[in-house]
Amino acid sequence: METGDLYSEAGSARFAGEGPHGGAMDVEEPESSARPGGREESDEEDESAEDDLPLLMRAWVNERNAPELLHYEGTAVENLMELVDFQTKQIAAQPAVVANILKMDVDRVKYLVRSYLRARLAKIELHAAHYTRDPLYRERMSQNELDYAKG
Amino acid sequence: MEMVTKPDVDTAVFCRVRSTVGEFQFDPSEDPIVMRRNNIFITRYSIIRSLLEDGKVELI
Repeated sequence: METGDLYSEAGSARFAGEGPHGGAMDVEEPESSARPGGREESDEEDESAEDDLPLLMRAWVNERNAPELLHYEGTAVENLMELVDFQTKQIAAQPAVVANILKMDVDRVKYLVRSYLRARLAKIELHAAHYTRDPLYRERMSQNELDYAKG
Repeated sequence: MEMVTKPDVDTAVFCRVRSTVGEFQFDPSEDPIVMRRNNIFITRYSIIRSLLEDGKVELI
């Protein structure tokens, strides 16, 4: 898949998320929306948090195209899953139309994370012995992946 | 005789340059090639592996 497309998709996802709540899928930390904070401050916060989505998208495309297992973007995965949980709870309080749009956005992120993890598992399955005995690759795996490779 | 299968790191990949690298030696027997931002190359994965780790290129 083409990355250009992916980025524009991310752009539209961000747009769709701009509901009345402002708690867009995009990556605003749960805390920051609770805090009244000045515009500048929240901008800064957005920037650091916002990186997770494009970062994981890039990692995902790289992972799917590289023959070997790459570095695991664990923090981005965890942050995004946390946001998914947070946003899922928010959705219930929204009117149906908005809820649908937000749900679509959440589903998009879920798909990204799933596909990323699956791409990695497929590689681990293919060359499990190779990855488990080389310390370089062991470092690249999450604990779950390591257990899976050994199992 | 190795029985452990390994991924083929010499497979061909497409990559896009994310931040200008400058002259880069793709092949020891050839002249270096200048890699500028947004350039796209098709090459062996093993050659651009270190650039990918540094985030200087992305695969597409």
